[in-house]
Amino acid sequence: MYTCHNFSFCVSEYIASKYNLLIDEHICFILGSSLNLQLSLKNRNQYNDIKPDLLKLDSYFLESNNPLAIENFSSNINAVFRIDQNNDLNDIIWIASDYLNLNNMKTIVQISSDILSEDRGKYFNPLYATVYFPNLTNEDLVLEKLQEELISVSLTNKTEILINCKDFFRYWNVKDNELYNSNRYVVIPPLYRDFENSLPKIVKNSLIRQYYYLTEKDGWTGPRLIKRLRDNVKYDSSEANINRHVSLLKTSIECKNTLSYNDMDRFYASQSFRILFDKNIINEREIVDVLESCGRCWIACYDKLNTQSIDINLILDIYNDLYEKESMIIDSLYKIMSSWK
Amino acid sequence: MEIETMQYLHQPGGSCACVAWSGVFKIHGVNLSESDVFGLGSGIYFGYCAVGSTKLFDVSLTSSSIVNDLFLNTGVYGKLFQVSNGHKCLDLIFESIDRGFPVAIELNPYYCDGLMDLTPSDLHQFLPAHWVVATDYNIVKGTIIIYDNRQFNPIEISIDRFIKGRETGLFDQNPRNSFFNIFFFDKLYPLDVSIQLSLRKASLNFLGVEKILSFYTGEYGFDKCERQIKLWDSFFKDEIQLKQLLQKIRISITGAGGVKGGYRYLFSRYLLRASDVLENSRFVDISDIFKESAEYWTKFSDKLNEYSIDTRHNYWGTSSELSLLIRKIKELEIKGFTEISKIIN
Repeated sequence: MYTCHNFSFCVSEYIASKYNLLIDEHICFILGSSLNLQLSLKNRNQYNDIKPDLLKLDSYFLESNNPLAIENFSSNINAVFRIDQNNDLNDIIWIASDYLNLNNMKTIVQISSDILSEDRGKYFNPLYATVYFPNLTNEDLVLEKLQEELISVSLTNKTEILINCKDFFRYWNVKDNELYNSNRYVVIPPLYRDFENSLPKIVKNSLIRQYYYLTEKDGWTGPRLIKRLRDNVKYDSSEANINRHVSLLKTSIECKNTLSYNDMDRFYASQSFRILFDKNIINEREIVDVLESCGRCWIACYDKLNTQSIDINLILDIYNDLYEKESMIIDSLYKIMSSWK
Repeated sequence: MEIETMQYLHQPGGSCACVAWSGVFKIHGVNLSESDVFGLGSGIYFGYCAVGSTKLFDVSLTSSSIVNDLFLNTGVYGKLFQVSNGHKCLDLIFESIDRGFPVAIELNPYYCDGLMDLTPSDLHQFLPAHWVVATDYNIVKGTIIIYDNRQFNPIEISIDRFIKGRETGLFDQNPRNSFFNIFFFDKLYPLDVSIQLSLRKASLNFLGVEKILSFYTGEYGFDKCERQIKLWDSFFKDEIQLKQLLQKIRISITGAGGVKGGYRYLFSRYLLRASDVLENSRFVDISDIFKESAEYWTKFSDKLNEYSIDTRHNYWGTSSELSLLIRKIKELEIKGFTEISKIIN
């Protein structure tokens, strides 16, 4: 089964295009400590608090991306990380200039999920993209000409969108929308004496950060989040609340489905850990199967919500299964960390 | 509406970033000292920059990602934003103050009067953006209260000046309305985990990395620096320019004159904390290594200053002494990090 991961693809593509440094996108997933499960606001206001309010469940979706993935990635590999925002117009010239003058370098940006034509993808946040102008010549580095050009927006290996630069601004323009923290990101990896030799140590730090991200946060991530959701529906088993939970689960899974699969990125994570195991960077293989099993559990959850009659028992069964599987991920991560001692 | 004045406890210190964030963490109930912040942010670093064609030479002793790493190592949610509009950014700062939380932000150094007064005017151009903490504001008077790491008392700055200080300046002097959106969960990562994460990252920087941006790092960087110090004068026809270069480097390694020992005293204190938390007395010995390194950095900084102000010295003699100091520092710091790496890896 072929799965994609938006952040991992974009970072891998960006680093390869700019620095000729090939880091497999699955490794980028690990280095971003990307595995996650948290509640995020649908209409993401960049200044919102982090602790969700379960009384307003309609306002949230379940996010399987780590919103700090790019920061984690940069920190874990000792890269220089900068956010850049001139004004929108100068940033477009910057994107063009990167491509023309820096050997086809693509720029990594954040973009509105409205660019996904399907409605169900619209809560996909953060959505990264690598962008460049595919048809540029040296004479085109003028704003008036650039605005007429096509810009390539790549979201995954399978999803590349070609749109007019003027239209691109509708999905990227920070000025009035204020959804994102900057227009462009700059990640400058260091030069290692021997990157492959250093990779195990880098992965170690990444996985420790991964483990604690999923287990701390006052129980608003990972299996403890599932437990909170389960307890919430036990506490309030009204039809209205059950429907809120159904909507939460369906919306969240469908959202991931627009770019990848309805497994909440667990299959992709499984592939990533398999690569680590094959490279002898981790000694424990259990997590590969655990993640795959968890991915199947999410798929089964979605199928049940669409095919079975909805009642409190179904929701509780679903949450029980998810809690069990997500907990096994934590246990497997812990085993990996213990094997280092 | 009467808003209770924030009980901000300001502890002056050498490093503006570490003092600022130490103060912010304390208000949020996390008691981290200046040296804790420096260590947990994997702040210790060595980099030597040499671009002969543009006569660009520099020595850097702190990581550029100390604040981001501080959050990632402790489990505090922190995301950096560039707010498109200065007034909008100000609203965010006021909103945080209204909720009872101070805001650590950077200002163009030219808008930090205290820092300007303490630094000779010909060196102002070399000062990077300066971290301060905003704790209060008065709309009627049109002022904001800020705390500066080098001064005990709070400073009152006009809102107009503050806004200008947030979005003007060249290169790294311009904060560009950057703003950290932060959130403290009730539980952070266990301190032993945070310390290990920070030390592992710093070790990798010293032992595994050769170059970051234009800076040569680790053993390779030290060797390059040691060799090339003796050549700096050949790049400048004018001795004034050479002296200015040395003063620029001195500004860089002393945090505009506020930090002693090349930040190594801070790291040495952090290692004593690591020794307690990780219950490993080997860190005490390593702490002594970095304390010794700090003494050499102090001599290095003094030598840079000596040559710049005393015309009796010739560069050949000075550069030989500087090279020797770099060699000694290299031996100590590589040894120190090799020992740290053995413990935590």
